[in-house]
Amino acid sequence: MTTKSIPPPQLWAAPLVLAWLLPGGGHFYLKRWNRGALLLFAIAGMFVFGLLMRGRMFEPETGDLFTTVVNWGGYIGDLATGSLYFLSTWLGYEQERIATAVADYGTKFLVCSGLLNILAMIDAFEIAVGEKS
Amino acid sequence: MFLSVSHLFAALLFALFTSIVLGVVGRNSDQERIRYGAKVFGYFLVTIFGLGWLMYLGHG
Repeated sequence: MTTKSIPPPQLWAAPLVLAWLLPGGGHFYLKRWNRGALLLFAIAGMFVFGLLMRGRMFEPETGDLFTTVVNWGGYIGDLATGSLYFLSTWLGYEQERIATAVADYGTKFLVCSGLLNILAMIDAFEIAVGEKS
Repeated sequence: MFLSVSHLFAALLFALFTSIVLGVVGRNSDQERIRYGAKVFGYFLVTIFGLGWLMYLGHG
């Protein structure tokens, strides 16, 4: 079995951080303009629809195992949208728990946009280190 | 502003955005990306309508 060494951070750190801060940002930095634009459209679009549906941002609550996993997992998913999360919370977006299906979809949209951004970050990393074109 | 959408519209929107991202990151050439994104979107549609009908028929 062979072990792969981690590529030097100067190759991938900037695209990875940019990809986190702005969906598609890592691809823009690496001059993959079309792919970056598609990622920005899809991830930011999902996030905006989540806000319009009054989705709730998760907070890192602890309690029993299920509560802890759901809330921390959701919080990490929300945080993964980078500037979209920071901008909306700094601008005062706050949503209480609403017992409607649409608001629940919105909450899932917000978390899933973060999870999709993690995929975009991994893709930017792989392009930066030369594993993908 | 509050957007009220149907379950179907929300599911289709989710499928569209997710298919775009999976298409972009999932393959290595533009041709393959388009094909893969369309395939994923098609799978979403089949699942959405298939499960919808299954639940409708199973409900009796």
